[in-house]
Amino acid sequence: MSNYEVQSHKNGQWVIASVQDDQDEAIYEAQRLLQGKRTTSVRVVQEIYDANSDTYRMKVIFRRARASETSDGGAGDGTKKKKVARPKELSTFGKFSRDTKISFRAFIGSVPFLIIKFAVIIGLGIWLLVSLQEVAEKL
Amino acid sequence: MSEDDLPPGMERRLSLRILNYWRSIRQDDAFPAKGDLDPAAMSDIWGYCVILKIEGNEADPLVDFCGDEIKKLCGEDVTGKTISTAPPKCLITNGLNLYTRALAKRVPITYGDEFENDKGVKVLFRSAILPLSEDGTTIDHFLCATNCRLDEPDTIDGDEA
Repeated sequence: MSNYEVQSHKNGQWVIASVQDDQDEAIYEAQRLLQGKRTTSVRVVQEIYDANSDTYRMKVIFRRARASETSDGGAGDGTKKKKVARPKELSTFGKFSRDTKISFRAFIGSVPFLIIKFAVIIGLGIWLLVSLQEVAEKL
Repeated sequence: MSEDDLPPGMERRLSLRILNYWRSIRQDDAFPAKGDLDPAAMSDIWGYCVILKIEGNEADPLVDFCGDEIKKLCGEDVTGKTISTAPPKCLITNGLNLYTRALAKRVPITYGDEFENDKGVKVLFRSAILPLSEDGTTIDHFLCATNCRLDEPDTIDGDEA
């Protein structure tokens, strides 16, 4: 026989809110707790008794976090994930780098670049022809 | 009020209805006190309720209050009796025997099981045991609710006891 612990996440740790013997009831209760706005994340842990080893195995069978939380509820490991602000210098460099990449891509696709590319190809072609003509004259 | 008479949208399971009520009167993380209970606010459940006095009776709680439906199901009023002195094959002795677990875990417990009553009929029950405390932390009473169904061969399915 299994038991289901409904747990809520409070002050950085999981706290048992109730114990049920019915999985559907436990999940329903967990969802209701989450709607109650007293917790940011909930989960249901199944306790499975192993008669061979006389121990209980714990298995998380349901987990939900409120929409404003991370999808994991920041609670998979019992700690809340925090967004770390980037240092300003890095942010500035990142912005510059990103802007430079965007400018370069825009330049490659621009008409002046196509004209320059066309001129270089024509120039190389002419140079190749002249070179071949000179070689032919020598022979 | 039977489950069939419940207003549309109301949770049908008694154990969850009483758990909802218990959470609604709870202040933050403190357990509600016995005095916070309002029978009028849970009139659909109150008849199925039992209050067990734990303070000074941890090993054998005293029945402090017994709802009318429970009296009918047990065949007598067990108010003032302890769990061990109540009829051995009644809903109170069999349906509320997990109070020790609730006392140890300090959380509400809901569960279901079955037993054979004094007429040899299988009784399927579901119960909820919820901690109460005067100071918010020390459990001195349990609010319990239990209902059942008799698993008689001639009983029409869904016939509530």
